[in-house]
Amino acid sequence: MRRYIDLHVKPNDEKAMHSILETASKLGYSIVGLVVDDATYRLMEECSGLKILRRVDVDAKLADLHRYRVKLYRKYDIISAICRDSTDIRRALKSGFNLLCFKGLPQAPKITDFSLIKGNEAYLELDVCDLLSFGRDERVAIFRAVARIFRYALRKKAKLIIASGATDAYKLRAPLDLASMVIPAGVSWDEALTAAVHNPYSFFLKIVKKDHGYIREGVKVTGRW
Amino acid sequence: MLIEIVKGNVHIDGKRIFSALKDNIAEFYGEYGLSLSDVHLIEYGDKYLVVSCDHRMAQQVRSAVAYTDRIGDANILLRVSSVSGTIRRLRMRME
Repeated sequence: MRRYIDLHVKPNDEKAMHSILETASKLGYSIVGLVVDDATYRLMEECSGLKILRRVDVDAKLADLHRYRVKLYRKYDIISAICRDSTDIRRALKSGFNLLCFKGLPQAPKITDFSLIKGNEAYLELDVCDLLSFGRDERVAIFRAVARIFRYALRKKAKLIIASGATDAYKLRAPLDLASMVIPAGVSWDEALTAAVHNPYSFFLKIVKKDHGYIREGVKVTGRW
Repeated sequence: MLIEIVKGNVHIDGKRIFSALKDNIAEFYGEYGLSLSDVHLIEYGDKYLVVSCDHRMAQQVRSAVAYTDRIGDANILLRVSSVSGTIRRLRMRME
């Protein structure tokens, strides 16, 4: 059975969190990346029946970015850097982040950033919740940027992830509907499906490996002295 | 195409949802896209809609469903729960 994953859900309050998890379960997700504090996540996991990945978003403009990543590495399953431009992407990659949440729409990253993302085996994440929040006139520019991001990623073989970024249950989408939300930008169905279904799963497998002591591809920590 | 109404803060008539869906198709793909998609409302109930469309435009119609989040002042969450070539098969999946 295919496991659907929404890597980015950030509820505003506890009521929204319950509602989001209940709806995510109805929509067919089995794993959710939730921006949540340490105390409540176990309770949430038991209540909803979903596997919850603890996630934290760090602004890429922070001064000691590398220190933050090292500090949060053991506490959270997913640490993402919020990037708004090329400079943020470069800083985040330099600090060792492997998930970059891009919030700079309608600007798109440069094509050279995608080479760096590919070189660092990182993932660039887009929240489709942002697409819902824009008006009709702004959407044209947004879709152009999304099309460019997908084109550059395809050319440089960089990995993209589409997540909902939902703050309430009404902004969640079913996995295949989530993939279809980039279709108006001219993205092919295969590319959309890879970004919404296959890449989040490969990212999840990386996290599982991290739990089993793998720090890089083929490098496992067997003991410390 | 079987569209399920997952969540809604008020009850909304199926015809109004279908009208919003057609508006979204026209917004994203234009009148040409709307005519190519050839969408028709087959039947609807409290929690579902059955819509027929051209199979070559199924992904585009699905994207219009995903963008339907508000009808008037009411929030709504829709999902495409099944796509089939025949209405008979959709009915079987509904049961």
